[in-house]
Amino acid sequence: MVHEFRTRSRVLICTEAGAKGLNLQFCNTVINYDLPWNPQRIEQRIGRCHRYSQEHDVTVVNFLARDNEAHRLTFEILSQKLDLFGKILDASDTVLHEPRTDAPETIVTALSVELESDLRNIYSRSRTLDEVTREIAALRDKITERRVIYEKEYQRTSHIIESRFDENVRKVFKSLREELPHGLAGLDKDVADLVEGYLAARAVSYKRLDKAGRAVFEIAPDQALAADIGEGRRFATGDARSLTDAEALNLVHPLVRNAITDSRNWRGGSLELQLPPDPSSALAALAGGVGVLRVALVDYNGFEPAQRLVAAAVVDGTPIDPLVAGSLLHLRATDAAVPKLTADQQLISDALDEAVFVDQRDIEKTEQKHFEQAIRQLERFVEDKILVLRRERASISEKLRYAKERRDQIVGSTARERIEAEIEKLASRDESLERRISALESREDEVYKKWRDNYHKLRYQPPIVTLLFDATLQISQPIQEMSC
Amino acid sequence: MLKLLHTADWHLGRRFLSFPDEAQKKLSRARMDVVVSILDVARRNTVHAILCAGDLFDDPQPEADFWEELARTLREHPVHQIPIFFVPGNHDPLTPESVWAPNHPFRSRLPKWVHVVDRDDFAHQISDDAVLYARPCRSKAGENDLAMALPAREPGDERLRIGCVHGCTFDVEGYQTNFPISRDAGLQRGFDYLAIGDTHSFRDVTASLPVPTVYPGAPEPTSFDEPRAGNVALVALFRRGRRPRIDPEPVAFWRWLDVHCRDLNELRRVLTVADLDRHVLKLRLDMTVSLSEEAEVERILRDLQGTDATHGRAGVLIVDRTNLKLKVGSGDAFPDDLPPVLKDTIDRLDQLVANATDEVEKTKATRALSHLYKLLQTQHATRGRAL
Repeated sequence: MVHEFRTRSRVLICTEAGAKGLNLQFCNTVINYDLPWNPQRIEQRIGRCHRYSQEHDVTVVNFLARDNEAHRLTFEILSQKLDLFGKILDASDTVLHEPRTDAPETIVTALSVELESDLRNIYSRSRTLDEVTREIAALRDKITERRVIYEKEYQRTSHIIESRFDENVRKVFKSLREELPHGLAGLDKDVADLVEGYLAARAVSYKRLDKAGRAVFEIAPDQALAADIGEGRRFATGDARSLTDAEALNLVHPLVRNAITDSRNWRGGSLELQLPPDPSSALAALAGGVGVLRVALVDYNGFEPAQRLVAAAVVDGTPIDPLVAGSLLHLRATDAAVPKLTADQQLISDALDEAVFVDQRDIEKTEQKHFEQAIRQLERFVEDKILVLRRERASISEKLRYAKERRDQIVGSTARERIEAEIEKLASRDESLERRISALESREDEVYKKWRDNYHKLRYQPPIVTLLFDATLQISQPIQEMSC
Repeated sequence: MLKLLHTADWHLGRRFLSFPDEAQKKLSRARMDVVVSILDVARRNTVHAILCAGDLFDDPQPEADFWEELARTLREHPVHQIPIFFVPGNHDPLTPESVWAPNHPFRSRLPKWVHVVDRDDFAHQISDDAVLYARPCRSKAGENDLAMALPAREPGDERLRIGCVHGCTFDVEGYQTNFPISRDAGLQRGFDYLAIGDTHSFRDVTASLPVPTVYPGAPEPTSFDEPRAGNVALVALFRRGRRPRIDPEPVAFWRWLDVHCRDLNELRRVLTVADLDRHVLKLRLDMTVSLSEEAEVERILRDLQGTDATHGRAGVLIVDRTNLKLKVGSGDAFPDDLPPVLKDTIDRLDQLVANATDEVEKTKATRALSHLYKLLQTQHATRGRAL
């Protein structure tokens, strides 16, 4: 009958028998010549056409006696209060080509509506049409009330979910907000110190003024500076948006880029490091010392690849703490004639190993977190897979049982052969599922192993240490003033 | 600088018989999987040697599956050529029948960079200026201090000396006397680092002494009372006289958590524990709840345990309900608008509770009320209402 309807006929007339089980998505108009009181039944009828792979809007036509107030109210409940004809057939259908998920049955269930029995009760206990109309109007109002409560609760729940979700997002933003100014200030300081070191190394005459969180440089015209720096002679670090009387010094500014290139090309030598006016006690203890500084670039591959500068130093014959050695990189450095030292290569090499060892511990915390998360997701993936396969196996086992029962009742040899073939196919599928489940349970599954190995490889690659330079150094007393 | 990875107490082959089958498999598998992570940590940190200070197997004669799998992992892992030292402990002592015996097939499957400490005078030059001394346990119990039995530093020996034995330093209350280790044995015998194994929590027992004596702990916890288990120790040794740096490096998959819930709020709080799916969670319910609270308890437990259709939020869940009691009587759990027949039943059950002459009768009537409450709940849930 469906084939006939699909290929030749233009109209299919059904009794209630057609409300279930038919796939009529090639058709896009439903005419209800009666309207059941049961919302689920109405939805089932519409669902014949309004289902997956329907490519057109579905039109539902309902016959309604206009002059019958009770019918009108019933339709109002179905269409407006329960959204039976509204929400499921909206514009999203044409985009998604699939029914929406917030089907009216959700609303019907949420509102605890048992419309059919309520209406039946109304009709059975009412004695006049007016009484029916009044009762149905009361039912409509009751449903309206419930709908209002439902929607409020829905809104409240949505807000709770949103607020909880936002809380996490807010946390990230909060930490970014808190960390960003500090990070930017650190970057500005590094840029300013780098530029200052560059200018000093090229003997360019300049004036540095640190004020309101900015470092402002006034630089005299000088042949030693590259032409791409331009005509401007006043530069400042910090937020470029409020800067009116100076060029912004940022990482792409030619002056900064030249300073970076120049620094990267440095292959070691002799340095004088100047302690700041208020050095930490560990740094202050180094004042007047001479030694060797070794700087390396460490490449950490992994979930979050990182490149870090690591410093090690031996001052006055003693390796210094890696964290203190790291802070030497932030001191103001100038070329100096430090007497050549015969540094103990083993000592400085050990000091760098130790610095990398300490630095790596810092990286490992984040990497381990990513790794654990990845492994957990993988485990969850396998567990889900097992769950799905077990369900499939249960269903096959049921089919197998049913097929065997049928086989026992069959008399004809052809039919028997057919059922035997079916049983064999089901049994073979069952075996294959059992093998797959077993492989997944023992984690011998190839897909699982591939991903696990990938994660291990990503997490546990050794860092690559590239030696950048060795420098002999002399650490001077704290600087008293910050200009030259 | 010499870098070592120090580990112990793998307890491969341990059975977790008190757990459900599925959980047993998970825990047993994790014990083997962690070996890969340990070798990975060694590779990542380019260590010079891996020291395993005893109790690698839970039994001196483990089932073949375990030693075969371990040998295969060691052969196939890309951590090739880093020397690995296995010291027999008190759980897997070196005996002629044990897995460590020279004629055991396990030994022939091991790659050549794996060394079993099967002599009392075991010594191995790890690098030009570092040497390892180790001594095996030869029985399940012993009174000798194996650390003090290691050779003392000879005058003029400037090499880094590392000791590795299995035993107990007896600073943990309640531990039995078995293979005692003097807390200053490292210092007395002239070691720079003493690697030991036995207790399952990471611990530097000599934090105030110049020679560290360290328990790395079990890399995968084995029970609920192992607070810092799940690590290996990464050790960086410098020139003689400087205290090495020791860092615990996490490798475990599972965390074990024992929660004693004295009220419903404590149980609710369990749901907020981060990474519950990586936890072996033991809940000891020690509370008296009303009928409606009992329903919530069941809901939380179902949420943690999972169903056929959904995964539980906890990785492994053990629930001790011994002290979970139900408040007697219906209280105010049932709504007022119930049909008369149900109201009547509830009243009669309440009467039974009130007039019961012994606890058994009282409990029976309360259980009946509980069943009735659950039935009504199911019915209401089907209709989309809350009770």
